Amino acid sequence: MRLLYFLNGIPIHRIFSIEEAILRLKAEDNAPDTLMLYVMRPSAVSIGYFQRIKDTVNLEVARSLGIRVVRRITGGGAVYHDGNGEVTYGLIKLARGLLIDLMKTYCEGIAEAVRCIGLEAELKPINDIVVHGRKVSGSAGTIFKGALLQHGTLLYNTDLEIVERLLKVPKEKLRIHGVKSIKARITTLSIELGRTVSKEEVAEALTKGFSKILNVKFFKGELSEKENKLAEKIETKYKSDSWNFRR
Amino acid sequence: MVHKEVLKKIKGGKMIKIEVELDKGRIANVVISGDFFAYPLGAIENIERSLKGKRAEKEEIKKTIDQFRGKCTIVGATFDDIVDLLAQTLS
Repeated sequence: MRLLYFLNGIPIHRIFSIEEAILRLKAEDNAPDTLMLYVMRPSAVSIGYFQRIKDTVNLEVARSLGIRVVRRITGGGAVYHDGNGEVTYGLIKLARGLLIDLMKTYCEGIAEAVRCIGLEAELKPINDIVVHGRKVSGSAGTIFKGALLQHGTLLYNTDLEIVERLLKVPKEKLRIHGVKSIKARITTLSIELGRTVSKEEVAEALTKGFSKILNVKFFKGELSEKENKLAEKIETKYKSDSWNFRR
Repeated sequence: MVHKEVLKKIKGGKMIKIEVELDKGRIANVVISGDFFAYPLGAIENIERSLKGKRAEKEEIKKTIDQFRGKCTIVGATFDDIVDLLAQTLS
């Protein structure tokens, strides 16, 4: 399977347009199955397709920190993509089955990656990976004309203070999870291991984890001309207020 | 115009918020938001659009939403959850 690395950092609107371009081309059988591993730089926030931006993100804080907020085409919740503390994966392949089952299957790839790094990991349906009861990873997905896009986070050294300031979580959700703050519910690989984990280590672990779950060998590839061109067209959307503020 | 909203964490599922604008007993606007998943793209918007102008009664809402069963897949909530929550905003 093709593997694309963007570990030196890529802007959020650019990487989301690349993902969407590959997804659209995959649906037409014009793109290969792909796993992408990327780091967003500058740090950014992504929100789920159906989320109300004002219910989800403290926009004043985002503005004051110069953090861009971008809506995804996938559902799910808001994520702070820390350029120095989080690796995101994106998986694009044909969707054989229902999203709920596919997400469960492929989330195991992240759980495997966490185990590779030396921690016990557990999949907490629908889309979370927890270590010692706290979340280190969340995933989201959609199916477009028979093609799957699943993407998600792996927090290795995310600044949790910033997450707490940036994201708004309804009190009811925190109550159900039995915690008082977002910070009490999430953790990072570095915190859990008691040492600083590097993005290279995380990328290697994710590659191994997905290789095992998907039963594939990866080769490092590049974007095709078609993918690049389509991504350029799509990018305007992810930069626009009409998209990002549509809810 | 009356604004009503309800927010619920679905048991074993996701957060869902329904906001409704009511005008003379009819739905003028509705927004279904939250951290659930749904596909194909645009399906939830279609449900929202189809509810506009409908009488603010559970039976009418149910009938409208039922048309989308099988055409849209929701993960983290069900069609019944949406109908119930909408009915709750109206009560």
